[in-house]
Amino acid sequence: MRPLRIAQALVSAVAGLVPRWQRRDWRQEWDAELRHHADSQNEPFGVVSRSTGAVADAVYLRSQALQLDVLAHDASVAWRNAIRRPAFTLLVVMTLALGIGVNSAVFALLDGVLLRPLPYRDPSRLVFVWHTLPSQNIFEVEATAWDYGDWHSLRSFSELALVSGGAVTIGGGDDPPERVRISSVSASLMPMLGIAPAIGRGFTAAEDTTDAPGVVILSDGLWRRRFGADPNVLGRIIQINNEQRAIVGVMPRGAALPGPTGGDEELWASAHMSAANWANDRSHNFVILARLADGTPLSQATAELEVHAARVAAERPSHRNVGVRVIPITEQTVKSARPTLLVIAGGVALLLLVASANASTLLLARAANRQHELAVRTALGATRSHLLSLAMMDCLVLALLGGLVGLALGSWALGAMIPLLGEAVPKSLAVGVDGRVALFTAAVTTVLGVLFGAIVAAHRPGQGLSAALKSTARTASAAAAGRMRRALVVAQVALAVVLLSAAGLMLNSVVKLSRVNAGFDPRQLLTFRLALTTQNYAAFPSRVAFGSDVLQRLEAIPGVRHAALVSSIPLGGSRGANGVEVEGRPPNPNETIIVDQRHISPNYFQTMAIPMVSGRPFTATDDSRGEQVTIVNRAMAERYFPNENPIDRRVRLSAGYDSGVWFRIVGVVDNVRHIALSREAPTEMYRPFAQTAAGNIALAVKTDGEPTAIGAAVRNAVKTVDPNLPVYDMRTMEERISGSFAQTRGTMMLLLVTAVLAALLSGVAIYGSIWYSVSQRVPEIGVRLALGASRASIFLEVLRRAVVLTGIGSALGLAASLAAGRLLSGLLFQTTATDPGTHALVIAGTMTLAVVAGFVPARRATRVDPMTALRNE
Amino acid sequence: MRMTLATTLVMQAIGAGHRHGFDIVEVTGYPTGTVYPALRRLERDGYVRSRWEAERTATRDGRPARRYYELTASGIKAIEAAVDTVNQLNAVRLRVKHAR
Repeated sequence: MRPLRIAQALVSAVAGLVPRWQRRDWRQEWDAELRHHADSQNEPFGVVSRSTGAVADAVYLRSQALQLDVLAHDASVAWRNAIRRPAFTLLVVMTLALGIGVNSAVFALLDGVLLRPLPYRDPSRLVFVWHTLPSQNIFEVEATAWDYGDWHSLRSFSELALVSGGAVTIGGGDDPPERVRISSVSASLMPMLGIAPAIGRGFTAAEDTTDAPGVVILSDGLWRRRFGADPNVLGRIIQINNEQRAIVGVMPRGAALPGPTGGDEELWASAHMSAANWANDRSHNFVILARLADGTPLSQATAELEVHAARVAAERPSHRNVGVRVIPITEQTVKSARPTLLVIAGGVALLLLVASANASTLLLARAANRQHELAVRTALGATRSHLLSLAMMDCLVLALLGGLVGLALGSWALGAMIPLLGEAVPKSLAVGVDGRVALFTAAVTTVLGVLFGAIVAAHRPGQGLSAALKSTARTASAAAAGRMRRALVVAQVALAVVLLSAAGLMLNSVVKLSRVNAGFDPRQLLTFRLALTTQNYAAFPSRVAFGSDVLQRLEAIPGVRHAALVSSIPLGGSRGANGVEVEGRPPNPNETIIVDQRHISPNYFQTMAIPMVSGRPFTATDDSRGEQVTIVNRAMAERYFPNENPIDRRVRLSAGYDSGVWFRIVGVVDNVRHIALSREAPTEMYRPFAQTAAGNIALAVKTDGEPTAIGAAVRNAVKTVDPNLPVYDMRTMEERISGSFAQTRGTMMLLLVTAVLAALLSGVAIYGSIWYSVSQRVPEIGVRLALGASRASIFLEVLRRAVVLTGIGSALGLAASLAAGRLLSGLLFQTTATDPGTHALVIAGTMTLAVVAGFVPARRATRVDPMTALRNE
Repeated sequence: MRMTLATTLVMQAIGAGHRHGFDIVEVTGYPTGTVYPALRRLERDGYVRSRWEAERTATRDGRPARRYYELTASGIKAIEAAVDTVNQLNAVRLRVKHAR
């Protein structure tokens, strides 16, 4: 036989060892090498000697495959174990799915809002630049157009952009007029952010001025809704208020401005401002964004801007007492969301710990029940390491199932959470269950699986075979497992108490917020907004006439008691403030008086039930022909007229179209929490609508019955006066109030749901632990009963165990809540983190839970038959 | 992965352009029963990868297609670290020699 044949025969003989899926390649590799060697070398038996290595190679590959085979076998055993005990599997899987699911959902939120970079070019160098009024405690005031030009001289900024937001009525075509959000932006904005229209072009520098015609870019949503996603939309004309503007582009889906309010824009317009507007240093209407120059840290930019601002403040009267502030866009976009999201993340992480502890308790109990089976496996030759690997695989399979169900649950939970959180999730950010969330879930699942496996393995019986086979044997390791179970129960109760306390404190805050006296009566009030911005209302008298006409028609609707008009409705999200001077009082250079302005119809206070403190309300004679008058609120009277009667004093505005005109104070009215229920009333001035005729107005209609019932009649009344005027933002006042603290309520709801789930899981754990200990102590209870112990004393003793375990857990939980309370304090309203009432109630609730959970096992203990128990022993 | 002298030499041989099994056996002087299991381990741990020679090239040379091995990026890193260690050991050995 030729040497090559011998070598090939050897390779063929051992090929059977090589796993099937590798065999073909393996044979081909060896065959090629042997043949080439035989052809090229002159030593006849060299090829045979080389072929002997195939044995070692094949054995090595087989041993590798064996390890995989064992794993696959263990996984299939674990899977069979899981389906053989469906109730147990369901309990563990659902417990874990609950914990993992809410964590996946909250991770999706954290990832979308806090972890991912914002969708702009190099977002870490983008900043908002604000004015501040330190003397007024106001730290974010929009800048003027003049500042935008002025700040170009600063070296710290390589690019600057200007944005002014608002709402406009769009018309044209067959569709009814519609009120939409618009952002007028400088041409520099899109290149600076690194965004561009999907169709058409961005704005040109010439379009920043009135030298070129004003143009607009549609949002993807508006393009689809109003233009049917027409690809030939470029060049078409859209009517905006009373102007015609050409469409030059369509933004991509999801494109949004940074900042907490970004994402609402339906239209992007070119700045299109006159030279006079660009030079205006008094109208603080512009949000300024900037990009830090390369190598310039934030601190250096702030320092340069502050020095510059101090010089400008000394030179320009308009900028006296005006400071500056630079905030990174990421900080600005997510800062209001961060505390809420972190508290919720903390809450669900605690729930995951509770769920994990619960699952561990169940797995430990099952491991204890399987001692017999394991002893048999050992007797049949299973090694300790194989038993460990089996235990690990058991837990991994359960954790994996929990993770899969959890991911589905998380996707659903995320959908339910986002509306609850309101503005904590900026609309400009994409939040959803994606690959990163799946990866997070997979990581949590694996860690949990391994952890459970380790806990179960650590409490495996290590004693001899005979002891393990004797099912009633009580051993040291069983005692250790018992201690571990009790420790897990205590931990669950402690964590549940932390969650319940947090939820209780938030609930307290929400209750207090809902009981705050806003300063007016919100019942039976329907509110909506109108914008008198079309050509028909360009003249002052036409706006005044519209106001009185529409009020008359509204009051004529059956069921309407009063109707009134106001320039910005309480809790409506908008406010207008202005600098004010008091007659006879020289302006104090260190204190600029800033006062909110509201323009109202005469019966506004009556409609809203806002009490007059002194003086008189406005009357029909307070119109353009009469003396200019104003009513101030109590906060303004107390702050700027302390110890004097403000009635008949005169004030004037330091900027704006009617600056310099003196207004006589004719009344003082009580405070209204216009901005938020949690914020004290600002200083305010009310002016008669008939003297100011503001363009943007809200209407409040007081009804005899359910306010929403007259919605259609109200729309008809407005339509009768002007069919082209869209009615928008129609809500009852109670809805506005409830919406104003939606975020606090959402956080409370999420914490409450989490806490209740944690409490339920803890209750189950207490029940399970006590039940298990009663089953273990049946013989002992039997002996005690036989020796004359009363059933009541047995009942109380079992119950005492439940109460003691819960008591220890509650004490630990209370200590943790008090220590962690300050993390929550920023979200609380008129509630301290150490509120004794809330904590006492939580402890009382938890102890009640212990009694309820311990009741059934305690009853079971009293029913032990001494004879049967002793016979089994 | 534990870097033995055999695995280090096998990787060095591949790095030096000896790309198929018997060529590596030839240059390292180790038997096939050592080189092949070392190649399997290195491939499993991602230090080398293998690919089949194009059928056309093999036919042109009048032999069956071979399996070629090459170092991956982590293989290159590992071999550099191993060579560094050997150099350090050499330096120590030299110092010991001089001290004598």
